Amino acid sequence: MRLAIAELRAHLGRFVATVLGLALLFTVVLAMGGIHRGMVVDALALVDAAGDSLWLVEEGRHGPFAEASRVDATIAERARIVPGVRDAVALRVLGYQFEHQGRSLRVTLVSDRFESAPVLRWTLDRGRLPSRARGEIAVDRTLGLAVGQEITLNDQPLRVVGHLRGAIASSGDAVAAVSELDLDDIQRFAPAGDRDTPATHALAAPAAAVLVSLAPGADPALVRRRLAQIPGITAYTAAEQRSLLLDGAVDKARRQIGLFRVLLILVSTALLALVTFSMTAAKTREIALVKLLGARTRTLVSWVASQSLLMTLAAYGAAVAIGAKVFPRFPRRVVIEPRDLWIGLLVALVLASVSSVAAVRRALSVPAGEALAA
Amino acid sequence: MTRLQAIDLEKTYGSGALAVRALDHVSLSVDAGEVVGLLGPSGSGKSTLLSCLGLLDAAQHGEVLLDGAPIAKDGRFVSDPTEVRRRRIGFVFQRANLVPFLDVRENVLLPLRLEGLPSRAAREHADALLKRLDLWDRRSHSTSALSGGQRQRVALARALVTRPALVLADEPTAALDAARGREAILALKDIARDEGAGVLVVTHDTRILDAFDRLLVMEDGRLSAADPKDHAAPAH
Ligand SMILES: Nc1ncnc2c1ncn2[C@@H]1O[C@H](COP(=O)(O)OP(=O)(O)O)[C@@H](O)[C@H]1O
Ligand SMILES: [Mg+2]
Repeated sequence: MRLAIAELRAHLGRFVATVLGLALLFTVVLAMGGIHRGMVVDALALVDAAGDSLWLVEEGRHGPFAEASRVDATIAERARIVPGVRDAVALRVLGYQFEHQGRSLRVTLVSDRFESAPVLRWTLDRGRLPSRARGEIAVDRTLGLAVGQEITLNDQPLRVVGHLRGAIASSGDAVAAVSELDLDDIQRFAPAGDRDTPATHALAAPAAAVLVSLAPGADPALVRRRLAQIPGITAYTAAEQRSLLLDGAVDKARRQIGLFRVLLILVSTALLALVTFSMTAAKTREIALVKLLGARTRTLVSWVASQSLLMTLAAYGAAVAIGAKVFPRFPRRVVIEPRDLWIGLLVALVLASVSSVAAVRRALSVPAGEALAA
Repeated sequence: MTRLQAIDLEKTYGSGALAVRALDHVSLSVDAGEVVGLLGPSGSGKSTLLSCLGLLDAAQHGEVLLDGAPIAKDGRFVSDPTEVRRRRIGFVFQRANLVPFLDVRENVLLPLRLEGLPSRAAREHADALLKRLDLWDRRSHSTSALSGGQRQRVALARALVTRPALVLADEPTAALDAARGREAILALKDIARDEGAGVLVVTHDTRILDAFDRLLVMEDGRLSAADPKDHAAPAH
């Protein structure tokens, strides 16, 4: 260890350059993981906000977030009278793009029964939720609209009364919460150009899905079987909705991101292996010397491997620090949990050991007698 | 007291028609505090002998004893050769062979560190050697800032820091001028005598032969005692 540190100090430039290069690679690996986790959190935000409710969607569809779905608003009334059902609410979802103060903003409008009892669990950052049947809107804080601001969506005047936290649609757009009546009106007058997102299929239909909450003590499986008898719909549990969402676009992104991360880790390993190996090759004379002086095998292994370990740990620490500064400014949400950091550390340690294998073998193969040769 | 004893060493490189007998029934002994010079033309087997005595290689036949106990016998090591080298043998090379990224004192401490954390007594011994070899003022200098003579004195301190039973030196004065070479050998002799180490020095350097207690000559793998007068440098 002493030898390793003394040598790194003597080659500080190379040490720092390697650590920086590795740190950047590690930062990207961390960012990709964080973006994936952010995508999952975003994708599930609305599903999670609905708690344990059952989801009634258009028959054979995965909707309303994974794909288009439209159900007749009367379904809610029919569901409400099914035994074991406490309440059923039509959920309207509308992708919407508008101009505000020269900026083009995209939101996913979601309706709720704000005038009486909202069914989704909205998380407020500041201000409040809409409380009247008309004219109020709460937007995700990332949208960039200030509380108190007045906006107009399809001729409907709305006042921003609060900021939501974590209200992101699976498309990545910020969610805005409005009353059912307001969304009805906005939907009715929506320009044709906005119908490209899945949710805009709801344009022609009264609702994207119906959310059904269960009466206390009701058997979810039984209620679901009863609901499934309503023609034209498919019923999902919250867990099924989650996995449908994650199996779709999010899963594809996960596999792509995973592949990139594996590639980057391989690149990092190769880089570190190269640096460690060339540092070892450059000190063949010193290795022969300490072998002749009677160094144990473990002394040699620790000399070589601890350098790769030190560089890896320094790079990982730098990557975490860079991430803490930079990730909050990313356009997409980056979510990194403490567990991810520990797993990352573990991966980094494995990377350090793998990349020192070649160098260690080289060091052990240096003949001690080389130190005697003139 | 006999520090080193070699009995009837035989070492052959290669086989058949290409076989080279590098050591041919070589026997020798070095006593505590004794500094023995080993002369001989290039290719006569001096380095091979040092390798066998320093447990870098094993002679096919014969026995090497350190302080009366066998450490190698008939082509095999009797005890762990790295441990014997680390604890009981000091090495000095033609060039000082210092570790460039360690300072003077750390170079001297290196053999102790290979063993583990040096004891207080061991560190004090290292410091005493640095003072004795006139390196104390330079102890925290980089080795690249030293002269050739200073570098070789650092190498001597490193070889002696573990209080070895035996010091093996391979042409330690080859890179030094006559005065520095003599100084180095005399310093080595001085300390070896005080600490009771046996010293075997391979040398071509006829200018320093009178500094040795005894001379041996190697020729075609055979060892014989030599008279210093036969090898003395011609007077200028
Ligand atoms: N590794 C080796 N393989 C084959 N022959 C060797 C080897 N090392 C030394 N020799 C031969 O052994 C003889 C003695 O060599 P060496 O001990 O190096 O002599 P010296 O050090 O006196 O010059 C020489 O003939 C040399 O060519
Ligand atoms: Mg030689």
